[in-house]
Amino acid sequence: MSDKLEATLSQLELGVRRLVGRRHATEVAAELRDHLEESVRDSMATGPTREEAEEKAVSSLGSVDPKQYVPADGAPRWFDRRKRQVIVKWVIVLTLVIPWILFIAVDKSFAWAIPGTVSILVAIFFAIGFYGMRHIVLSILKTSIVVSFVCAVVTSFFLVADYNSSNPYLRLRSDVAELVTVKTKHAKSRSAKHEMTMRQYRYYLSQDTTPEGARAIVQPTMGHFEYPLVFRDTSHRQNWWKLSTDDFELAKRQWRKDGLVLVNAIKESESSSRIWLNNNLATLNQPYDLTLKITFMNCDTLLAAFLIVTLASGLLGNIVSASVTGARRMIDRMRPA
Amino acid sequence: MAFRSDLEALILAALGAGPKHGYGIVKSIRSSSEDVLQLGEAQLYPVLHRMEEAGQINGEWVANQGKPSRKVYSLTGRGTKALEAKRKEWAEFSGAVNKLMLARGKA
Repeated sequence: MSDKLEATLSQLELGVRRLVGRRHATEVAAELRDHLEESVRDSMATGPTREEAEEKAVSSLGSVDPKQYVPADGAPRWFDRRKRQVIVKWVIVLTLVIPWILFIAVDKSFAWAIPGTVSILVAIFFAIGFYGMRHIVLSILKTSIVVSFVCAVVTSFFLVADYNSSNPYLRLRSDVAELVTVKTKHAKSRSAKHEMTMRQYRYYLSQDTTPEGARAIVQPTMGHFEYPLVFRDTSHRQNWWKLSTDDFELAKRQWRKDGLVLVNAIKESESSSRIWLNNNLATLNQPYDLTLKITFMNCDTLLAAFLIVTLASGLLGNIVSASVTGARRMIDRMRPA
Repeated sequence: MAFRSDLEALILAALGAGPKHGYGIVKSIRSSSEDVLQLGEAQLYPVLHRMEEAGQINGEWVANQGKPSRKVYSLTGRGTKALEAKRKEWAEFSGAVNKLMLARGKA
C-alpha cells in the first residue's frame, strides 16, 4: 500500500485507539485495510495504475473522523474512554497518596498503613476492572512514578526538616516509632521490662493503666518526646510528675546519645509533685528510678524501600510498554500486504 | 419522508442475500444497482457500526486463507425483521412516488 494510504490508516487507527483502545483500533484498521486492498485490486483491473487506484482509495476515505469508525462493542457508553482514564488515574493517585498524607499530617502512625494498603489494592482492582491487566502494566505503573515523586518530595521534606531542624524534640523520629520499649525499674525491687507497640502503648495510656508488673510509665506528652515529660507512679495514679526543663534537656541529650533515658523522679519532680513526694517519702522510702528506652524502627529504610519499589515498578511498566508497542509494530510490518 | 434510513435499507438488502464483508457489501450494492449506487468507506462503516450496535447485524471475524482474517457481517433476527419492514415501507413509498411521477396528463 502507498505511504499516503498507510499514513491515513495509521492516523485513523490512532484516533480510534484513543477513543476505545488498541484492540478495537487494530480491528478497525484491519477491516478497512482489507477493504481498501480489495478495492484497489478491483480498480486496477479496470485500467488505472496502482498509484492512481490508491489515490482514489484515499479520497474515498474522505475526512477521517475516528469517531465514525468506533465499533459497536467498543463504543463509549456513559462517557468516553479518555474521561474514564483520567478519573481512574486520579482515583488511583489519590488512594495512593491520601494514606501517606494522613500518616504524615494527621495521625503520624503506621496504623494508616492498613487502610493505605487496602486502598491501593482497591485502586488496582478498580483499574483492572476498567482496563485489564495490560493497561495496569502500561499505564497505571507510569502513574506510580508520579506518586513516587510526590511521596519522595513530601517525605524528604519532613526528613530533611527533621535532621536540620533546631527543633529539639525530634518530632518525626519519635512520631514514627513503631516499637516502644518502656523499661521501668524500682531501685530496690525487681525490675520489669515491657515491650509494646505504639498502639498498645497508647491504649495503656488511654486506659489509665500500666502493664502488669510495671511500676511506672512514661508518657511523652502528645505522643512526642518533648517537654514536659510526664510520668506517674502506678501505685498513685492520681499523681503526675514532671521533669524540670533542665532535666528534660539532659534526658533528651542522653536519649539522643544512646536511646536511653534515666530519670530520678524524686530528685527532679516539680513543686506540686515534690510536695506529694515529700509527703509520701515515708511511703516510698526510697529513690525511684525510671528508665525509658525507645526503639525506633528505621523509617528511612522503609521509605527508601517504598520509593525504590514504586520507581522500579514504574520503570518496568514503561519498559514493558515500549517492548510490547515495538513488538506489535514489528509484527504489523511483517504482515503480508 | 418515511423512508429515511435508505443506506441502512441498502445494507440490509445486500446482507439479505447472505453474509458479506465490508467491501462485499459495497460491491453487492454497486452491482445490484448496475453502478448507479456507489458507497464509500467513510459512509459504509459508521452505518455498519451503528447497525451492529442496534443489533440488526452481527460482525464476526472469519479466517481468510493466506491473508489476515476479515470481518463478515450477517443479518440478525432483528435485522431480518427490519429488512422486511424496509421492503414494505419502500414498496409503499416508491409506489406512491411512481403514481405521482408517472401519472401524465391527469393533474
